Amino acid sequence: MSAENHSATLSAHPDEFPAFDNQDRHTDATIEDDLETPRASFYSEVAEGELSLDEDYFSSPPPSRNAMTTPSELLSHKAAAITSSNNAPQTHSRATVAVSLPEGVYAQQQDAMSGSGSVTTAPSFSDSMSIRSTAPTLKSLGDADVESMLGEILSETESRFCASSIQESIEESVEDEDTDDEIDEEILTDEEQLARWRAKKKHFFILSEAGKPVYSRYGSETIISSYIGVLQAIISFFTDTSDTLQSFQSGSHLFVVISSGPLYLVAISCTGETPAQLRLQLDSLYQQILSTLTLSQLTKAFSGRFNFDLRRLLGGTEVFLDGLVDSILRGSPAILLSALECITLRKTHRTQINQLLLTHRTSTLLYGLIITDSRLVSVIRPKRHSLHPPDLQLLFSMLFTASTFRDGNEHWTPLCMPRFNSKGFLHAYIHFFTADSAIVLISADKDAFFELREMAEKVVAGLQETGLRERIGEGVKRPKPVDIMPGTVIRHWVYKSRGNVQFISSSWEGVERKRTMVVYQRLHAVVHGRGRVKVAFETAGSGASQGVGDGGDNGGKRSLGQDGMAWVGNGWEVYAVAKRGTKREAMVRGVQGIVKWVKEREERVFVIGGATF
Amino acid sequence: MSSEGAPKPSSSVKLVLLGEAAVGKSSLVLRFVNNDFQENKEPTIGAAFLTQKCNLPTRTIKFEIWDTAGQERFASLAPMYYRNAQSALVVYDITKPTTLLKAKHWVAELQRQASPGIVIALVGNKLDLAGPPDASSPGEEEEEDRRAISTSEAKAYAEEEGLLFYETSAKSGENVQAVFEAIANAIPESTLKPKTVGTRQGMGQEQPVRVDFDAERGAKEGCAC
Repeated sequence: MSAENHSATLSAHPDEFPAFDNQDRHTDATIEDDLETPRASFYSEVAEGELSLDEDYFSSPPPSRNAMTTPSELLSHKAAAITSSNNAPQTHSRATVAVSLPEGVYAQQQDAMSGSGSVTTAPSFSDSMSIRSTAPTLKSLGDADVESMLGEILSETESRFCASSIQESIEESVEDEDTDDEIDEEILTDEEQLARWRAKKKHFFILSEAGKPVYSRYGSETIISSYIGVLQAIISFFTDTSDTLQSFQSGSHLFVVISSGPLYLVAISCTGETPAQLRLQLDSLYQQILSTLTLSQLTKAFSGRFNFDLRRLLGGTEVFLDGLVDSILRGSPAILLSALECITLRKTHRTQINQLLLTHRTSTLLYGLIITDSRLVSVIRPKRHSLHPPDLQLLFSMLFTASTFRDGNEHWTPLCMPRFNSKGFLHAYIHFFTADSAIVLISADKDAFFELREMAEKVVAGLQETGLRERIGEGVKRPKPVDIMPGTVIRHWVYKSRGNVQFISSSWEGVERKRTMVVYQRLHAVVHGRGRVKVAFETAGSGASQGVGDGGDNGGKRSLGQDGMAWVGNGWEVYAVAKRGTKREAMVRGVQGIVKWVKEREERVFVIGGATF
Repeated sequence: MSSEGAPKPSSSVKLVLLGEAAVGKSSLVLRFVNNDFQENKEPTIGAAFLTQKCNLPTRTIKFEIWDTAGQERFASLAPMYYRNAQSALVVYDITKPTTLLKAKHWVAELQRQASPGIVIALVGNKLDLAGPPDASSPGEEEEEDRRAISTSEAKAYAEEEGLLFYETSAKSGENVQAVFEAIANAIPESTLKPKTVGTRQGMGQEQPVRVDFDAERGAKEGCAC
């Protein structure tokens, strides 16, 4: 295959990812509808491993056993390694899991293309489809068979992956994303509103089983109601036949449906996410609803009242759903990676802050947090209770995407942390002691406000006296890639520590965030396939690109303008972008520099363990 | 407003704001505490706690204010805030008749369940949306009068129930200070205690009132259609 726009380089990988990674959320494979196009069946995900959402965010990460890899070693693994993982240069000297590997690569590459809708089908492609649809038997084949069979498939799909039209449609959608939200919709005619609504690249809907609208990011009720009705009809058609509709493709739009409790959540996107990625986004919206209502209350609301209008109960929290959706649209590494971001602090400073919280801790305190700029500064928790990153993500989103809590006043609010306990409320004392920094004290006692208030006063005074408040302010600054490695080709990077369920990102300054996030999203889809791809490249898309390391600068075509690379190690993953046409060797060297840099200061950039009591 | 004066006896007064969503409770507090106004304020979630001093000729009152959320789902939490409150501001929107109805429910609940001597003020907010008071009939040109609840109707109800009554505009600031001063004056000297911030008193712990969203939902099922 001539072009290697997106060649995934593999190395043998031990099938022992830490269970922390809740990115690997696999729903059971249901037979997906083949309604629209054959493409629809690409999206079925094969059950693999348990859902592990209850990761203990603060447990120590597993020791990293991977030695650093040199650039030449990495580069030597190119596509050749795919077909014969056993013969691949052994960067990672662990046993090969050959069976799941090749198939996964195939499936994942399909995933990465999904949503674009412009896959050109070749005869052999359809063949591979049939292989795919009998996936369960594939596993039982001998390694050799699988390898030879997949050798063909892979070579096919790889060329497919370069289909320029795919790139184009995604790129355009990325480019046009930022529009018009400022215009007052009321002054527009119905037609104009409808046109505007339809022009959105991505929609999120929440509806009840009965088809009552619960939430939509865009559009007035008159606009959305008929669409909601259609969605409900489609979904219930499958439900009636005891099947579950998970996703389908229509033209360039991918529809993903999740059914959670009494609700359906639907994402419609033409921006190239995989179904798994969209599912994750939908789930975060669902969790937001739970945090407002609790699962008990949500279930109860609909029990015996199929037609209940949930909006009445959700009143006032649309801002949080909007905030969440907007951060998804803007590109959220936190949601893509299912991880939290922390601020950089010296270990001694972080310990001092923990100590402040611990010293003034009251008996009813469950969790104590200091958060700044949507990032974690410090946390204390009881030994026997872990804190779950998705819960914290919700909290961060509520605090920072809406202005409700950011008025400098003290707030006391019931809050459900669904992963902690989806059935009940906790109570949160929330106070922004600076424009960007908040202290959040969570208790199960609804009468604890005044004692938590007193605690907060002491902690905030302590931060002030010790100068830690300034340290927090300084820690907010994200490093630029060139600060770490002068002269590097890397423009932006994100590093996730799986064990800590946290990530660190370089400065977004001067970086086109949305486009960069699309690159990461694609890379993420590849490295999170079943194939356990360890290294992946994304070359600024254009059909004309040829060969390794040559981005194919053909000027005329709109593109994301950046090359990307993902690298998965033991317990971590890193994503980076560089200027289009960057030599892979340089990129690999840059990424290695990042990994080295982060590893040298893990205790500064991540909250490891957190303080317990 | 509240300036630093000569040492005068100072005491804390707990005040709770109740009323339907979007009648302007937070805006009234914002006007009173910061002398500020924001259009399109986001709804309060749970409750906000604020303090503000109010200087009277003979003493200083420090209000500890619970600004509660008006949404239905928070209604069951209200007892937590009004228990032990010495005063309450029950707010409605003069342009929305249903909000007065809701206000009446709150008044009844307070009279039934709050501290016996609680001082309640009924406040009709958004006075800025009403036409000029001397405009003889609605429908005249110039300013559009969006008032839907007449002053006399609300006033009659307030007198009947023994409530303080004011119409205010958090937007223009009209009467806002007056309401809080009136409440401060109406608090009987005998019930005034030294400052009590920092105790659990305000949340009340003597009689555990069950605050349970589920129970609330169950109770409301009848009217949730």
